[in-house]
Amino acid sequence: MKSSVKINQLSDEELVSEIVKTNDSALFAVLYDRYAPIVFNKCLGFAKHKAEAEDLTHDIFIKLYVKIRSFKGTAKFSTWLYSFTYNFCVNYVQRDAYKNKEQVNEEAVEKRAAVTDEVSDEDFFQLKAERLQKVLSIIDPKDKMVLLMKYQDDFSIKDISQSLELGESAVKMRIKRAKEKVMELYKTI
Amino acid sequence: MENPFKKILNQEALPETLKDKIMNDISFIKLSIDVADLFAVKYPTVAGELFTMTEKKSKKNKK
Repeated sequence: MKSSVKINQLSDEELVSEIVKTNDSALFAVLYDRYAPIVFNKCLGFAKHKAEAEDLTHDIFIKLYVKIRSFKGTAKFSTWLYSFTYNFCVNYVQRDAYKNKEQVNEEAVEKRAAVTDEVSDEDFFQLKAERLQKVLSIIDPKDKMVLLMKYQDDFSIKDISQSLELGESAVKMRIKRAKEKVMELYKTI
Repeated sequence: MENPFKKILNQEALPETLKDKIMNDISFIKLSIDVADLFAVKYPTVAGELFTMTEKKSKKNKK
């Protein structure tokens, strides 16, 4: 067993490969300490209340322990974990029944958005944080995920395309559409 | 220009009790995996090797 000082010095990727080799739960606890607050706060963005975010964080870390072998090291571990978290949260939100109500509004916005011009990052950054948060709480969680990856976590297009298993042009299109939807809804709020 | 997405990042503290709960569940999962591995992989391997060893020995004795 490595000393705790040595373990703390390990990079995320080295730590993950040690966990895969040994299945050691103490090493997983180190990984938990590094990422739990970030994962929890990401879950808060998708959950309706704090207790729900705690449950989501719990489930994500349990699933992570089982699935950690599927991390191939093609991207940074943090990038992989964030997309793992987003996918989990989006699946969770979409299972919820209230999604059906929103879908009608989403479709209408999508139709309207199809005719608007591309939204530049400059215009996008002019949005007020509070209203943006409101818009993000009502748009399709998939669009929200793409926007958070791009603008909050600074993922590259390549990172997003790897995490969503989509082509880079498809990712660009998704971001463009998501931005248009946000701008549309932003005006109505 | 300030990115509004960075401003909406939540900064809530994570409850300490959650770690214990997660680590307990993970220990249980690890135990289940180890027990399954013992009975489904290790025991059959040992038993298989034992049989082949005794078979070889009995063949040698016959010769």
